Amino acid sequence: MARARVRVEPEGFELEVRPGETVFEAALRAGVSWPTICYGQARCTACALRVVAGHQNLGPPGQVEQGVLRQITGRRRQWSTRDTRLACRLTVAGDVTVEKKGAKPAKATPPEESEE
Amino acid sequence: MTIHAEPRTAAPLAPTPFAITDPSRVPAQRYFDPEFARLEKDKLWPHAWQMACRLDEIPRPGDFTEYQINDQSVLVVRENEDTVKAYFNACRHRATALGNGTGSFHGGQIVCPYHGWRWNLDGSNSYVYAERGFTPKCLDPDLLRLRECQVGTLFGMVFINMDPEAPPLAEAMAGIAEALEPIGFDRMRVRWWRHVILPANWKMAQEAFMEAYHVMQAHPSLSMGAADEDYNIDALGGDFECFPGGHAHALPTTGEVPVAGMSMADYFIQFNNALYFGTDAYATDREMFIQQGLLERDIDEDKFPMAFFGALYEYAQGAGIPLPPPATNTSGYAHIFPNITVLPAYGNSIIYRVRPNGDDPESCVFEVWAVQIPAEEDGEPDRPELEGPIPIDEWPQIFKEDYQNIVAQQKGVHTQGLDDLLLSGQYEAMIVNSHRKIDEYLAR
Repeated sequence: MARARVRVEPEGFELEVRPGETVFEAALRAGVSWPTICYGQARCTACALRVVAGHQNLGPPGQVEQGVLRQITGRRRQWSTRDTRLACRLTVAGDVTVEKKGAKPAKATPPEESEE
Repeated sequence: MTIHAEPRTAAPLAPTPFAITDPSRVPAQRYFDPEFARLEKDKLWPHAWQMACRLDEIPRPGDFTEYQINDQSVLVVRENEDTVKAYFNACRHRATALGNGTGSFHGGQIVCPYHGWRWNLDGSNSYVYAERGFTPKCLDPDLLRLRECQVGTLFGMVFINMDPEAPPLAEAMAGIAEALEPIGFDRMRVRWWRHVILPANWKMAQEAFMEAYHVMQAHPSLSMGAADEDYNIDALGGDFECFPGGHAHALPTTGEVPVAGMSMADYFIQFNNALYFGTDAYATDREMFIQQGLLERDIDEDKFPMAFFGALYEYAQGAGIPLPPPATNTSGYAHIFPNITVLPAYGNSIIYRVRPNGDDPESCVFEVWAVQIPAEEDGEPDRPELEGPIPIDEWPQIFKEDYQNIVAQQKGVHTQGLDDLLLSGQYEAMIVNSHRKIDEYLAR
């Protein structure tokens, strides 16, 4: 099955995201350090990212994510609602570029990437 | 057994209220008395092995689901490929429930939403925020571990026991584990999973599915118009094997047609049709397709069931469906104490689970799974999702008939002058055996 690539700015590294997998899960799998407090429970909003390109490849946000997103976008005026997503709920169907400050690539090459 | 110094073993045990003294007479109060329900809450549920979820609800490491019984909440967590853990759902700090419903813990961390304490999937604590504020005694790793239940798996189900002293699952399931092994439950996956909240005691609801004696009157589509003695219950299944653990199963049927004057082929076909439309559980499209193919051929009336099974196995082989060989020592219809009843047929099954709805002795959560052995090439399906609660009127006909009788029974048990229910030791043996085991727990 096709894997989508998510490019993460400003660090400029790439993640391979499997079908059905969230960007946050893919990041943990690749050993990436991604901001979180709740570890993927759609509660803390620390993992939220801004979508820069590839909007057509985004999976639809569910009700829980939408509720949480309304809180953040209300709080941070410069974040547009349609560009903001929770990494722990975001699935992708194709290549996407996102911005996430604080996301740091793994130091060594993780095994998943060296398989390719 | 440990001998305790304190005098509690010497004190005379208070007799269990509403205990069964004659197996054929079940005191009516067992179905509504709050004191009896409290006894079950204290002495049955915290000590009995019970199904907490299906394995396919938590397929990947980190997946969890919450199991609730009475006022207890337990998180069942997939730790890795081979191990499942069950934790009482409370933060060791100030008791906040750590998970809700169904989901996944990511990064191998269970995180408290209140102050951010964390645990690994094996239950050990991995983080205490600003731990300098706590005494070293509070930070003892054993004290910080999540409190565990015992866990065992059988028939593709996860069973838990809250009592650390309880004997292991294999011991508790003696007899029934072997009897049902040939059915292939662990190969089955969920087609649908629905529930209803019934205004009845959990035992009342469950017992509606623990005998076939009601089929003649309650399910006209299954008795096919045969009234009274023209419908032979002995041919449908009146012979049970009961186990000390409270479990029981129906032995294979004689192969006679229960409906007087009906041919084997007609009965078999109509029975499948009635179940297909009346339950949406089994027969399924798969069996109806095979049956339809046979209707276009000229098959001897008495040999129709054999022809059906021949065609079914041939089809399964071609489609890569790993059907186990037909069971020879059980019909598969069985009760797994205290609250699971299964009704399997040719690679399918209906599975019922009934629980008290909180502490209300006259409300229960009644769940139905329709499961089936899928073709191997289909791979693992998505995690099943519970539908409902679905109102009684919106269920398929056969379920509706059962639910309506349960509601009527719950009304009847309150009436003046009705002290007990009269049961058949033969046709209702599974019910009798289950009550016997309940009393064993309550007398402890």
